[in-house]
Amino acid sequence: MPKLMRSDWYDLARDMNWTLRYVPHDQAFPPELVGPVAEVPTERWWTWDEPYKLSYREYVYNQSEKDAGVGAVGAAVARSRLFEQIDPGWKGAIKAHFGAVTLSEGESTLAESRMGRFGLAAAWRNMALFGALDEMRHVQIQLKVAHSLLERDQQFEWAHKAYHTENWAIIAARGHDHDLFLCNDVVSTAIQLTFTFETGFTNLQFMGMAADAMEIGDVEFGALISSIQTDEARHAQQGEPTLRILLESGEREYAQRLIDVSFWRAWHLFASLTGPSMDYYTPLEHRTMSFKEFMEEWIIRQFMDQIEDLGLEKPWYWDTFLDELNWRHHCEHAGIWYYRPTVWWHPDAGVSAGEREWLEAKYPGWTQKFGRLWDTVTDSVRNDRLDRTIGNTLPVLCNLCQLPIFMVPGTTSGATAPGQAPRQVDHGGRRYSFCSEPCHWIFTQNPERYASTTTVVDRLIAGEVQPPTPEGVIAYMGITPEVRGDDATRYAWAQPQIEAVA
Amino acid sequence: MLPLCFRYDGDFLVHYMSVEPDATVADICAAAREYVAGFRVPEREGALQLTFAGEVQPPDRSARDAGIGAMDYVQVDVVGAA
Repeated sequence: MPKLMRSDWYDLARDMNWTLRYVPHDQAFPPELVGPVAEVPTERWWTWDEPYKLSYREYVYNQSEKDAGVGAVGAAVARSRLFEQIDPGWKGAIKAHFGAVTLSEGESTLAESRMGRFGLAAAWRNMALFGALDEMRHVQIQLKVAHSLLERDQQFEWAHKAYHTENWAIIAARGHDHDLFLCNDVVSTAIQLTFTFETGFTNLQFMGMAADAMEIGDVEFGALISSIQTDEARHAQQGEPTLRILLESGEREYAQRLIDVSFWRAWHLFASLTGPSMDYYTPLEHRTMSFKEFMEEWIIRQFMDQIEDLGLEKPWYWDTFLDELNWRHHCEHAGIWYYRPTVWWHPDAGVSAGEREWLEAKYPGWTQKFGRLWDTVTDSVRNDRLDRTIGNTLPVLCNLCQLPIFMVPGTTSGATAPGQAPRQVDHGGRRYSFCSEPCHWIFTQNPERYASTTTVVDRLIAGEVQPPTPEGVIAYMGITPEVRGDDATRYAWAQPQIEAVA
Repeated sequence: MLPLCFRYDGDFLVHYMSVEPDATVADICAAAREYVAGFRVPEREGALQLTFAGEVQPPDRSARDAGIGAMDYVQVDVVGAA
């Protein structure tokens, strides 16, 4: 077997950039699949240079080592009682993760494969194929771990089932995925999936949760997502060379718009998934950082530095984003808990007296904004009126991000005056409602892309949900009695003696 | 049925409700209270007031006469004593 150094052969072996003679360039690389970049000369794409070089042999060797590492941890955990000892709130966090993330990685496989075929440089196509293999591994390894836990807890079934349902959380996640990478051209995918979503946001989900998992003692989940993150860190680097070529070619406005759209969509998804996990489901004594502190470190400082170093700007809605950091995920958490029979995990309310103190310290004003809701819920629990702690009608959902519409006084959500309505627009004879100015803006950028999507509320109104009752809605979302969500600690947080101790 | 968006006094979530097409403003207010008071905000005595498009609507006016259409937003507030 040849033992040349990689650097001796790599550039030559990967140089598969040819001037096509048997078919027109546009036929081999149709604009619908490549993106609106006809002004960028073909040869300029051939300067695309990945920062992380890797041969196939090295790839296979590295990946097999990673799989073996996760497998060894899993085997040790299976022989122990570690899983049973894990905090119930944290179990909710990992089940939410498995359902929302596992098959999403399968959609990324398709997106990476599309870049592997239609990427405009051989080096890009090569790296994307590694990315496709990565994403296949992420689906399989997460399914394997979730499956190994199934006999201990049936809710882990949703690692596989979730993306095959019309559960509202999954409709929101799928909407995000389809917009940013499944129904996208390759230039946009490189920027919206690999640059914004993976470089910017998956750090939050994978590095933040890996740190929390290790702190809590969930070594299997920690090893699993650390292993995934090392792949993400590599294939996420497809974004920056693509961005550089766009910027060199005068496509700055286009690149900025792609980032502005994807950043907002990723933010709302992560605020719903990672925000509650970090600030409510993770046991108080094991919290290393608040969700906001993590966002400030990884997004506001590191990712934005990277964007500005490239010559781009912060998204135009930056002030709105900073404002939402203080309240959005608290609203999402309260919503998930209030509608807990509709989710496949047991959400931890996370509002004992000690936890409330922590929340107020990390988010000054939390008590004023959210305390009254939790006081009302606590009274209902103590008075044995659990029926009054569960929503009996649906929230109105944003026609862009598919998440609930909130109106929190004193914030950019819009509730600044009595009677002030959420943002709404009529298009094609239909009324669309939005949770925020950026969601409204994204819709108006390309209404036909989003106009046919429907929220669960739209489906209820259209008669698709039968019977049109709370039970009918739960069944429509695919939730069965065995997995239906309930409070993670069976309401222990609401008992006066717990409060006195805390 | 007439689908509506509403927010109830003191709550931060915009809810959905569906009312009969000939429902009055008072009917809508009562339904909103039923959904939210005691669930998400404390129950509070007092008259209910519906604001639509920046204008307070009389309780006996029908939704149709008030011009409230499908998926329009209304705000329901608790005002004064019962």
